[in-house]
Amino acid sequence: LPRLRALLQRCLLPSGLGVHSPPCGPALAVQVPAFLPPAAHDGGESSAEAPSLWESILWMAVPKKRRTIEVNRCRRRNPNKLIKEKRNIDVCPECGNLKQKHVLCGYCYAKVKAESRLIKMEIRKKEGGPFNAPTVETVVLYDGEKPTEKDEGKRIIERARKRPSWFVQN
Amino acid sequence: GGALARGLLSWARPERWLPSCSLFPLSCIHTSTSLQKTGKWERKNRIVYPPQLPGEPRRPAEIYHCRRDIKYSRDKMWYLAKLIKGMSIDQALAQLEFSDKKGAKVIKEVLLEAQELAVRKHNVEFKSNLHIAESLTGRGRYVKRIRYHAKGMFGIMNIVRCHYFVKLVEGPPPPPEPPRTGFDQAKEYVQQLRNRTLVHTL
Repeated sequence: LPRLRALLQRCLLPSGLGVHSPPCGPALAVQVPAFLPPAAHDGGESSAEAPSLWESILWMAVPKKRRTIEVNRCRRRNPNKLIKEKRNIDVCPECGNLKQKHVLCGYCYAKVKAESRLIKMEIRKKEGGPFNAPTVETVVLYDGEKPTEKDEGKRIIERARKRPSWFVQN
Repeated sequence: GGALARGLLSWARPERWLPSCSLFPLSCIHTSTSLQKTGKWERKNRIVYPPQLPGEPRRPAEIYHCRRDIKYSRDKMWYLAKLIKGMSIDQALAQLEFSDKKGAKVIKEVLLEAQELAVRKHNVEFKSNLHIAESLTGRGRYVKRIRYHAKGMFGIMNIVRCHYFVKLVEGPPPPPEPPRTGFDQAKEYVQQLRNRTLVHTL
């Protein structure tokens, strides 16, 4: 076993964990780990301890042969690894962009999100600070719209543009 | 004296005598790093066919486009290239739009650029009347870097880049070939047996 261990040390120590250098010495100027496996204390250890990493390496799963490119190709190009074609793509009836059947149209969502952001900025300007949200409902009115009698006690947010077609009033 | 010598030297510059690099090949070598050579794929767009005869069927337009040094792995990009091979351009754009891969965004841009090129420069009438004849990936220029591990160990990692090539052809996509059945294979086997001859005999 000490001969095996010496062989292991010669093979593994200079190469280290992933270091790509010839066995004569490290190719790049990086410190090889200063500590050595417990080879110096061989004589001292009379009781066989649990096998350290350097011995259990002998029982690790290791590839026996190089996988040829043909075998690699069979694995990588197997139909279960190829990307499957999606059959759930439709056209959004509102804007005409593509959308997935179970997902909202990306363009319409972005459009609504942009408008909501502007409304929220108006709200923030009106409130002026945190914790100032009123206890009444909010109504958004666009250019040339007057509050009706239904919007009596509600807070009114003005937006200086024409009402978008998708934002239906009431 | 010094000014005269300088003037003489500046007059006697040998490069000025020969504008073409005939006598000084070393100074005029353009390496690929300094001057980007046009790759083979880009040059395929420049071939000019002789005019077609009146009876010949119309040759469909072919558009070659590529993008170089995309920061992505060529093996991962290959899956996307394999997905869109043989599809019409609209179908390919739809598939790529809803794919979650990083390369899908890049390939979509390349396809849109190629479609634009086709309509502007290559006399393609309808931008939807294109299909993808070939789509390939290639290895870009790799750069080696150090990856730091624990305990002072290190590894050398490759910064991986790829090229993507696409060839659009005018016309509807060709119908997919029917898969090879056992009957086809048996017929081919019998044909091979029948093709055998005796050599070096009467």
